[in-house]
Amino acid sequence: MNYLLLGRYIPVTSILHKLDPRTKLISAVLFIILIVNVNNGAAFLALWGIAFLVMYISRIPPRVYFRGIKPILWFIILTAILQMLFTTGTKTFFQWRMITISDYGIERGLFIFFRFTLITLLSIAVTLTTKPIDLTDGLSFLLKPFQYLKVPVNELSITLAIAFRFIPNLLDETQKVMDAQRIRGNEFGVGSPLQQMKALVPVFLPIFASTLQRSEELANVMDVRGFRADQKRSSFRQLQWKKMDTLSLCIVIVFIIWIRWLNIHFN
Amino acid sequence: MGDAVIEVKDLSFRYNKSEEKAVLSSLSFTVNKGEWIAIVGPNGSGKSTLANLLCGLLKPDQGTIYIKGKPLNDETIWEIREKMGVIFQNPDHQFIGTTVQDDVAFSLENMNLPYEEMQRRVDRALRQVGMAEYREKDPSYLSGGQKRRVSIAGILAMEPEIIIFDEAFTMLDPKSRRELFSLLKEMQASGQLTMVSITHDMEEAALADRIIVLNKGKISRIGTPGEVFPETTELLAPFSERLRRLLIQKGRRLPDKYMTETELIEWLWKYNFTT
Repeated sequence: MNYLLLGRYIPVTSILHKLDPRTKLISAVLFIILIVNVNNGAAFLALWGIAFLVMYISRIPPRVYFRGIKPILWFIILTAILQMLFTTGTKTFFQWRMITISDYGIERGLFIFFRFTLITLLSIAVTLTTKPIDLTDGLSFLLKPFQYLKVPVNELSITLAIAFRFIPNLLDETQKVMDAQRIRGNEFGVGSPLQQMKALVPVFLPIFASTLQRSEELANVMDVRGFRADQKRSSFRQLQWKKMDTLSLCIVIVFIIWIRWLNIHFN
Repeated sequence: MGDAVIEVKDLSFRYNKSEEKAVLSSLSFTVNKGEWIAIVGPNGSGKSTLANLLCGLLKPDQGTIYIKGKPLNDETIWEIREKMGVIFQNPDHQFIGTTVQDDVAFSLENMNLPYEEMQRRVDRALRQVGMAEYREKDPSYLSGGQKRRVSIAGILAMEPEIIIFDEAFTMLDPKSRRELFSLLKEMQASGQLTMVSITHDMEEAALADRIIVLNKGKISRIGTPGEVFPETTELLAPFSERLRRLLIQKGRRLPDKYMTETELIEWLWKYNFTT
């Protein structure tokens, strides 16, 4: 079942793993904003350099990253090709009815491809090096200001934390039900798409039922253990902002300014 | 009699309010401080309903439950829950934290305790149940018995006065069950902890100070294991009692009273020796 969990946390020791989740989240968001606004080759080259640097210091083999892109690769390529085919430019290489391939179109297509892959790579870098629970803590810290807008940040973060906690259980259970169905002669992954979907119905129903049952039990347990959504709770997990985090954020900002400069200078 | 920690008065409950037939009807009993009570009975006798009533997940139709003299109701429930721990049947479904220590701290977070205090309590509770070296592990790494230990640690960290076990040991293998029983014995030894175990495992019930036998929503018998087992036929007695009865059937002469496993071994050993 593991292939379902692309981009899941991989426990190795690296600088990236040791950073505070807030540092990683802020950096990722800053880079994503930057990537969306970049539009020249020099800046993209620098960004690719940074992406490879990030992959390198995460100590996670690049193939893990590329496996993470794979599921959306076709979507990215399709978008890029559409850009290429329908954008007019100064030099036209090929034209047939609506379809034009021009220098500008090729550039646009390529940039779209770069944008999507870079954004995916950097997001995967965050999830590969941060435990889901730390990610949740980081997110709920960064979203704290929204509490004043009546967004129930604490409830959301505990919901998210519990959801992450039960993913492995759910996968185990799915495996068990699928095995039980297989023993009874149900085949998965064969036949037409419709048949394949039909084969999954007897898997999803029991899982759905048991999940409902489990959530009721869980709610009782939380109740009995004194959980009240409207009460102030203290937190056992503490995020620790270290010198390394300040330093990393500074480096990220320097990189961003440098790329902005490249982007303006080479236009 | 010591002071009553749990006092159940005239408790009745129906799931289907339009029906006459009650799951529990006018139940009354008390549990004293430091006592270990086992509530036993066949399926459908209302054991689990009683457990849910005791921890406030269900509300009685009639009657009151007093915990340390305070009636259990909407106003007192949160205060009472800080002093009362409940352990349910499935260890997997009550593991809320992502790691062992996070799970143990869950109740403490709810009590809004300061961080240092939580560290101290989590540490002590985990050492008490012998799980200290697993504190960073996630639940998928643990066996059923270990998960059970973690849920007990989660309760102990609250420093409770009452613990309710609702079929808490049924899903475990015999070995870890026996290990946990000796842990419970240790916990009880302080005399501060009142324990209620709701169970159909007679080996577990045999460890209690007193047994309450429920049948069709009524108390059919109350007494020490020594009093209850020999005279009760509706229960599957613990192994030692069943063996004793079998030996009597075979014409052997054995004492006419309930014996614990060790007592029986002791007795049989002498029996062999003299004949």
